[in-house]
Amino acid sequence: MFPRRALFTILAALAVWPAGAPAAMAAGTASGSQIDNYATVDYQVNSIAQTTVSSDTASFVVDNKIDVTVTTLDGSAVSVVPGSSDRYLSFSVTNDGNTVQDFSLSAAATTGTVFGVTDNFDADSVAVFVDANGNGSYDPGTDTATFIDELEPDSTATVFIVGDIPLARVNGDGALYDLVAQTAAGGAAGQGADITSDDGAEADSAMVVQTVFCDTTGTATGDAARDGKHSSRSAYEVSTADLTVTKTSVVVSDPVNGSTNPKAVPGATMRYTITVTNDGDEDASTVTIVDAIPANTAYVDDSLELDGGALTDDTAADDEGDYNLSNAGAVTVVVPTVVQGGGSAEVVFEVIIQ
Amino acid sequence: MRTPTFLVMCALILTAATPAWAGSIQLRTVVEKEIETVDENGETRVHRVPADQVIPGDEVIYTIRFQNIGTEPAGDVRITDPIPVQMIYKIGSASGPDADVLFSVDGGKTLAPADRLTVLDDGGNPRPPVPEEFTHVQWVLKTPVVPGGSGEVSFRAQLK
Repeated sequence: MFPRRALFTILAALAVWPAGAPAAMAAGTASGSQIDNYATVDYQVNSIAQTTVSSDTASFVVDNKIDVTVTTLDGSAVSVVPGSSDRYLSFSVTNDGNTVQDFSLSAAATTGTVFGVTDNFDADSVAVFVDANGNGSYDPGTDTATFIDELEPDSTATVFIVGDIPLARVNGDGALYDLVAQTAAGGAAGQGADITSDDGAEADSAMVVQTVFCDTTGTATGDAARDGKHSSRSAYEVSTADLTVTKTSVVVSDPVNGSTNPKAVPGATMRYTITVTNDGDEDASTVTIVDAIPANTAYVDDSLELDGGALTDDTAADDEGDYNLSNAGAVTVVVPTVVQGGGSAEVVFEVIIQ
Repeated sequence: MRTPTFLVMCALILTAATPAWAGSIQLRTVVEKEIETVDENGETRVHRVPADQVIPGDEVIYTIRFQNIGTEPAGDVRITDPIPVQMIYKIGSASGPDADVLFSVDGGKTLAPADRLTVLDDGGNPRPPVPEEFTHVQWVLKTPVVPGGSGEVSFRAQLK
């Protein structure tokens, strides 16, 4: 009686009731929490107030809501150059459940199209690593963990799919990957066991913590809703130069006609024009053009030009080209840059038909 | 104001009535979930089961059953239920036969009907409360409960 009334008063006094609505974690009440409720009744008999009576306590234990979301952090396909290594795709993995979990990670190569890129090759040496220092970029030797350990509810980890790009790829080639995060048991050191089924079909057990899957369908094949895992997709896109070379020739003059309608007769001067065009998405650098002069011709000294500018053909190191020095019997021109998107370089030289 | 215990006991000795400390009203509280099942005819039926596999976002139903197990009618019956901290009261779900329903948003210090509840905002101005701010539900039965009489009151709440 007095103790009960005092208890009720104490409870009311200790409780803090802020004017603002209390903020609830998005993931919700932690699993294992026991929620108790009992009611009290006050009444009178013959107009005399009686002792407050309490009900028994109705209780249940909050179960483990398992929910994980994987999202790619790449806003577009990751541009890669053939032959490059340690190129990575980025993802976030969020624990949307109410319990600390580990997550197993895997990269699944897939076909299809994403970010406008269609899959037609696989990267080499593909691996998955967790961003250990949280800097959003893959640091080899630092980001070495291959699973997510003890991720709190409402927390996010950054994960990379890392691979090497084969050399024999061309501009526009694509390699698509799904990152799959599988919920595993948390609460202990080391990697927890994968949780692949929940207790949805199990008999009721009000005071035992059971698991309930709440995840949605992911992008990977076989990733259904409410299966304890989720996935998201990203892509590598090969971005490189795309060079085409054309070579034309014209008769400049001959001993008989001069430069009026000259013919290709012995003693005539021929001009060769080599054009290199880059229609790719990256600049091409150190483009080396080597052209052996035809049989039965003799090179015309000082005729070598690059983009209309004369080159000293008898010295190799002073400019971009030479004749018969870097390569015997041939014109050699090293163009520093042929820019992407239609840039070109033009090499011209002359010979005399013998 | 409560009559001190010793006065009650004296009254009982004089009238030789049922001892007051036995408690005339018995209360039982249960918590349940609603489950939808599809029967053989393909029709969906909703029934209640003990609350289990409750995860954040789920709604449960608290039902308090009362019975007068004494020999005298019980009057001015007020049943009070504090809403657990991790639960959010579902507005409009408190129900009970022949009862006025009151609520508290200040930890039980004051009780009022739903449309007269206010809390103070940061500027000190009164505003209606949001569901998370409800702390207690109280049913005030309009008629006495006769000996052997019984009934139930209930409300719904969502787990945060």
